[in-house]
Amino acid sequence: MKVMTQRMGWPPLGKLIPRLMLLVILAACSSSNEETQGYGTPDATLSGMGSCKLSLAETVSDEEAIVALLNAEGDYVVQQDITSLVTLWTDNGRIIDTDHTPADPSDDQTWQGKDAIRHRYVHRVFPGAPGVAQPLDLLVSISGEKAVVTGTTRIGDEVSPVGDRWLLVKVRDCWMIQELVFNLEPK
Amino acid sequence: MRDTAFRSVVVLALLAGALLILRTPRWLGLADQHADSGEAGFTFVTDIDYWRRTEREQWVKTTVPFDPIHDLDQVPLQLGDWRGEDVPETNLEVFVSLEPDQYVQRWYRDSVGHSLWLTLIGGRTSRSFHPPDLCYHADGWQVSLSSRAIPLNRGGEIHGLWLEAHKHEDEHRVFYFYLFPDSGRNQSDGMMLFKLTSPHHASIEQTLAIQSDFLSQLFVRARPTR
Repeated sequence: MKVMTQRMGWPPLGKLIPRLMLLVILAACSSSNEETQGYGTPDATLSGMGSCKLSLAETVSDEEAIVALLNAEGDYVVQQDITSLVTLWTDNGRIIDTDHTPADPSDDQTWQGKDAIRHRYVHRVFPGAPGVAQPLDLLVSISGEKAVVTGTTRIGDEVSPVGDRWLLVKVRDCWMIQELVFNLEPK
Repeated sequence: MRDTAFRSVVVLALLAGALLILRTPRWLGLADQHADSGEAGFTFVTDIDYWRRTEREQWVKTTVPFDPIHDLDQVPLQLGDWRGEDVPETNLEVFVSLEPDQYVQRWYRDSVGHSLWLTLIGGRTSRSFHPPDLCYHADGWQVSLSSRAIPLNRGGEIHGLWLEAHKHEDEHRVFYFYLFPDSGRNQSDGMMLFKLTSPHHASIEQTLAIQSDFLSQLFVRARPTR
């Protein structure tokens, strides 16, 4: 039977089936590549969100996880990895540019929600192509499931002491960014 | 031998089924364009960004063609209860900086007295698609950006970015998104910015309802591309 099959140009069944399975897998891969360039997925699980995305050791403290999360945000900005960036934020996250007048909200600019935050990264941050974007001098204050972090803005050549204030929340053991307020320093 | 052959058929059928399931979303997308051919209308892809796909990407059915092949001036001036008039762009800087292939700016009003601006920009390079929030900010407006989904009469909703801009006594509420001829989204095939701008004469909910009524004259239904 084997000989007959080979003479007819068909590989043995034992080889044919793995090849077909490989074809199916490749088809799945090509489909995925075409459709997943956007951010997130509707069924994204929390394990791929916030600090849980970073594969940190279980022994890290909350403060270490928060610092790692903010450093990852800076790394993803440099890499222009928008897909990963938006996974660090809560769905109702918010960014506020106080324009150096934190006491006066009338001149604030805000980006509310992941769509708007994504838009800001892509059209405001990425065009500057910063080579470094990790905040400095982080001061972390944790209260239960919330944390406030102040730090020095460092994006490319810009270094602004106490320019950033981050609000983070802990959701099912994953720290996520809830809010960034920047341009806090006076002009 | 029969058992072996039977098992082979079953395995092959399972593999074919798996392949069919994996490729179904793409086939459905293509099929939709043709299934709609018996019904007046056109099919396009919309998204909140042109740089990369987002999870807001959708197929939409429209009543008029929104692609570079067609003259965007052919979008009707009478749309249901809405009557429009062309308002030429007087700021020549727009054409210098954007270099659009097509640019349409209209002022539409309905019989109740509601009004809004429709802006359509068609082009084949990203240069033509300067995000509206950047323009407002550069002109000294205070800008707040978020997103909204406006439901359509025959199912689905259009996702767009929602911009609230303030400058002195003026306030604009802007809903905008991008249209592509197909899911390939090649820039050389062209794309379009669809933008509605409402002056501040109602609450945000009322403004969304007014824009929804206008949108429903042009967009019939929508569904996610995946």
